[in-house]
Amino acid sequence: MKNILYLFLIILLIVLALLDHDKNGVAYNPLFHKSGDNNSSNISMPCGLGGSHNHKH
Amino acid sequence: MENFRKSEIPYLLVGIFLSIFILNFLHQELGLRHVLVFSIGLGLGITLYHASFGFTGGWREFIEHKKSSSLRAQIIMLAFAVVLFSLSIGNKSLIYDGNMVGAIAPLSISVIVGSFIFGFAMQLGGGCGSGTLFTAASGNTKMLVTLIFFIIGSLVGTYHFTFWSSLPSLGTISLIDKFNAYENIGMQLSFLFLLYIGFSFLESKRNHQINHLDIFKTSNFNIVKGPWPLFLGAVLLAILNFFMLHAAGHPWSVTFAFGLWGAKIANIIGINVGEWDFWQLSYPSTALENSVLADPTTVSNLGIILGALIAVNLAGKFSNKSNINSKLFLAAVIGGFFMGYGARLAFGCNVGALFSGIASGSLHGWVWFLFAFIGSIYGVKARKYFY
Repeated sequence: MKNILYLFLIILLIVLALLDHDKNGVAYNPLFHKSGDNNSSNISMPCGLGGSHNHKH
Repeated sequence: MENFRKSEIPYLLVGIFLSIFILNFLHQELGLRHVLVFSIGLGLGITLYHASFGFTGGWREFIEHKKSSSLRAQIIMLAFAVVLFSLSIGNKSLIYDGNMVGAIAPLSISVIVGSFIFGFAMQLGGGCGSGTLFTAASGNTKMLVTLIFFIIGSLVGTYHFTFWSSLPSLGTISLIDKFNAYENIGMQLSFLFLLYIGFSFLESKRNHQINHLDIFKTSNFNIVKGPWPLFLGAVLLAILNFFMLHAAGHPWSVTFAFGLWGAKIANIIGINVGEWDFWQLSYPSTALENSVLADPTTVSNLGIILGALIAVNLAGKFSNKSNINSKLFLAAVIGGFFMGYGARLAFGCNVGALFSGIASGSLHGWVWFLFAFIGSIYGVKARKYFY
């Protein structure tokens, strides 16, 4: 029974992600870069790491 | 197939089917690089589970018994990653036409406080960022509770982000920028070597012996079903993080996605997190407005979850459930919440800040390591009230 519940939770997580994808779409793909785009600040690390423009320190 | 527990074959097939479904979906909707990030996540999940590679238990073993095998494996993992990353960061990716960035964050009060809190809490919660993810996915009830409160803590951390980020900071210090890639490799490998010697010395002093080959061995090694030796896990994790750097454009991270999932859920129940300062920063605001599947951290986390699910069923241990009592539940709640909160203050967890930070030559990674370890010493003492 616990195994079924675990699978249900994992599938629920995936379904919620798919619903969010359906609702919001992909207006901006963070992994999409124009060919030859070497501006590293465009490729920000999540939570503000990487791109210096994300830091307010 | 007769070597597998027959009762777990359906769960194994479900894990494989879900992985194929997501791979196909990502290919159709988001492109090849998301497919690669998810595939790397699958590899990370399988490696983490089969090698039982976690920071929490290894640190506790050293703090309590001065057994250093896990710490030595982590140092070897960092050494491999430092070499691979130093020669890549700032250069063009092997996969796409653009430069890659490291996990560089400021050396600040928030990192010191956040890493201390994280180190303390991970001993209560029973797992670090990656550890919580792969153990929760492999069927550990307590770690599922830890994960839920990890998400809540991450969200609350983003609410307080303005206060913590206003505290004194030395700014970002990148050894690769200050020196060059080869000098960075020389300095960091020297320091890692000294750490290895130091941990080994303390183990041999306390236990009167040390076996440096213990990380290469494991009982009943099996490449498909596990377990794997720590050394294999260390090397694979360094290589997979290197692949992540080239596929995503930044190193492996885990906990940003937890905050994002919490923010998405908060939005659903009517809390407008978009007004919070953190969610108005460049990347977080983009991630909040977009599909959660556009966020590479979410995609790699999904890969880790399904990779761990596949691995635990290959090992035939999905049915081995542990019971959770009220004390353990409370430990999971407190540990999970404060790991999430600490990770937001410290610009990541043991993966995004320690592993990827040190590999990227960022000094904040070393500060994270030091203060999380100190926090763990107190966390191990506090743990005795719950376990």
